[in-house]
Amino acid sequence: MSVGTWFRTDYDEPALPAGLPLTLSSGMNPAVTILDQMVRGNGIVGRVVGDFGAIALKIHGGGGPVRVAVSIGLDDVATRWWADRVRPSRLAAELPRLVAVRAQGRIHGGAVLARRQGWRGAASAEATLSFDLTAGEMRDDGLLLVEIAETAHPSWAAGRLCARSAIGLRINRIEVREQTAPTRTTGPSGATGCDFTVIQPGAPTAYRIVTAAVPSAPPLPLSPRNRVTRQKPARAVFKVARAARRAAVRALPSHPGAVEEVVAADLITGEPVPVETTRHDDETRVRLTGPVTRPVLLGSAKPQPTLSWRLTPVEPA
Amino acid sequence: MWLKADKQEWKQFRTAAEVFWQKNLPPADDDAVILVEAFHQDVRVTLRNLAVANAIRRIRPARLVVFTGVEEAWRRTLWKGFDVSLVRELATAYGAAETIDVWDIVRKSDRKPSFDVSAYVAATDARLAKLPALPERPAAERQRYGDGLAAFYEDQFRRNVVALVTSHVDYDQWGLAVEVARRRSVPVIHTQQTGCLKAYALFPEHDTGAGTFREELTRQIGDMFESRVWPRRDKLRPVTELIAWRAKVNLGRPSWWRGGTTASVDLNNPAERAVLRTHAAARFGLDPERPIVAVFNHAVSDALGTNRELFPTLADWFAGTAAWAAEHDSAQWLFLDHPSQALYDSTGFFGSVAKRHHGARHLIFQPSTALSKNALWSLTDLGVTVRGSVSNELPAYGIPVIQAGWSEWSSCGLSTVVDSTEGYFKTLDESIKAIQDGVTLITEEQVQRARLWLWLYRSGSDVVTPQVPQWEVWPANTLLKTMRATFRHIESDADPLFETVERMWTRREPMLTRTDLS
Repeated sequence: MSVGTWFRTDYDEPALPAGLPLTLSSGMNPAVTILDQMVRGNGIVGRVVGDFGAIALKIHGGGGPVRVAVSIGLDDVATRWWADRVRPSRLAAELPRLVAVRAQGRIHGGAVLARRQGWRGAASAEATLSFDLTAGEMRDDGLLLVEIAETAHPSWAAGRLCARSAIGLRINRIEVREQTAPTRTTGPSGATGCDFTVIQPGAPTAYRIVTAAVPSAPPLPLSPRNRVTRQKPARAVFKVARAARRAAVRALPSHPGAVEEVVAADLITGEPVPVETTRHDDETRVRLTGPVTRPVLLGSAKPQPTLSWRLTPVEPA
Repeated sequence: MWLKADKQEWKQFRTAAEVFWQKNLPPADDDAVILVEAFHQDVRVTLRNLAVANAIRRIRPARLVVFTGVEEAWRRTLWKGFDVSLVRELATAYGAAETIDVWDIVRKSDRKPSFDVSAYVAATDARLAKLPALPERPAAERQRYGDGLAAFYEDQFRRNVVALVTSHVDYDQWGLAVEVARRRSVPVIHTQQTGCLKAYALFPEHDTGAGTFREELTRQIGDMFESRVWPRRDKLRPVTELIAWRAKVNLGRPSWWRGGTTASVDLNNPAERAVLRTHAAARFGLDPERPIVAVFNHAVSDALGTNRELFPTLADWFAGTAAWAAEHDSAQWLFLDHPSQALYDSTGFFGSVAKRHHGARHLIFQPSTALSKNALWSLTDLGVTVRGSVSNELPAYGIPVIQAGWSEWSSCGLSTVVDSTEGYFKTLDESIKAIQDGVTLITEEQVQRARLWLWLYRSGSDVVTPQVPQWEVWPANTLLKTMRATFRHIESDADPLFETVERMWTRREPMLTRTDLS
């Protein structure tokens, strides 16, 4: 008998499989069978507490080909959870998060998340990744395991992407439905809020980069950590200082300029991927020289933290 | 003593306790004494000692003598807020006749005891300096303290001593008291810092004198498990299953177990384990198809040399196992560090071993908190430890464990306990081959024994009495208020504290039990 045979006790309740189509938007659903480094949410599926976070759902009738959509969220609480666990320096700015989505043992794609900053326009970020599972990847009364995973950052992105990116991220929603015809993996198509973007496997190879200037990200919120800053009267002073720091960062003028050169890396390993950058008038175009078989991270060669990218596919010239 | 309580609460608690014990204890009519230590700064620890001591005083009237005090190195390493005057107040409330500041005497002492104390001195030195190895030559001051303590205890045990009640049995301030007590044939009651009231006892008539206190205890616990608990397995089955479930989801957790959301297990069967195993293995670059052995590093300077172990120190065991594993890539090895290591090691021992094996792709070094328990259970095919609690936890759910030393439960037949270093490496080798061949290394009986141990540890030997609130009844104000209610409003006759201590004392049993297990 293999290990696992005696995991059960007489008091364990069997998981209740959910039928298809499934829209899961709460961690309290009885189909949620396993949580690994995640906490359940009420209005969201859950939140990651470690470097990786995985959730397993018991699904009835998922033996055939299915389409899965996973929505990942980055909000204010996520940055605080991250800061509480990683303990960055007091002046560390909030950096974009880069994560891969792994399901049934395979990485299907990735996403970069950066919150919209600003005095009044600050907002959470959400990225939805949709991918196919072929027949048999999930058994008929089987488990769907979705994991938000860390990736190896390429050296040129060092200090520009958030270390231990997964901590604090939310899984807002998971949708599963039967799939009739195979479709390629799709990720978010809007502006990323930072000078990075991810191309999903199977996507076109040539793009125009549309850019917009965004306010720079202020230092992270930090929970009081020592005896002095924990005291209530003192805390008020530190709060003023923190607010001043945030205000100072926001008051900085942002003239990021145009994208000069683009570099690319394999999202999973961080290995370089060949890419060509061309400039037409005011427009920057990129073309990957090979087909996209694995998710690829694109970023500007020189840091432009106040530039937000959006890719629009173009016919290769 | 470390006590963040309101002054008023503390005062009312003491008044209530004083009145209660005045009326509940028969006066001592001879020169007999019960010795109790109060060296720990946590009030919950000392409360347990005093409660047990007073329960014995109901059976055998005696005067209560409390040992307390704090030494600089202890204060620096562990107990930053120790206050002897508070201990005195607490002891008085519990009817102590004398409270002796032992360290005050020992600091000035240059006396020599009648026996060699070097083992205790070395273990204490390693602990206080947070070293993974026993020092060749401990600091002269520590040696003098060790000598002074032993000489002081030899003096004290010349009195008519009924029993020694102690929360710890290791290091100089506690270990030497236990050593002298055993030499003078005095019963030692060892209270535990978890649950409600748990205590082990070593009575001179059951002490072979051949091994350390913990060795004697391991043997006696094993005998008791075999003769009293194992025969009851069928009757206890529903409740052991419930406790096994509760342990799985981290309810009824001992105070020193890992807590938090990632310590609850959801896995129910091999299929669920297999799904998560693929993912968890990928995070560390492991192959889920090949055997994975998890080696659990212990807190490296914790109570060195206090029970039987195959290697001279815990660090030797860990480094030796890593060196052996480096040459055996038929398995993949997950070396996990103890969650509280920072309190026990100042030398970066775990990191240095990891560095030595940098580049060996089949060896992974991680803090154990980097994995949730779900991930840990899904990865581990075989656990390896010296005395860690995984050796009772994992077998309860069918994951085999090899122990390179003894622990409280190691003679209860839950894990594979090896008795020589050659045997240890041979067992490792054979176990890995067995996993590759698909042989099950653990029997259903071992699983049942492990679940029964969970029952014995968390229920059978945990006495529920209002006199000792559960460990988690905290902070101090809440605890004191709860106890004040006990002293003022609960009638004391047939209190489980008195009944169970009397049972253990008169029958000379090795542990306090919630019910009569004879």
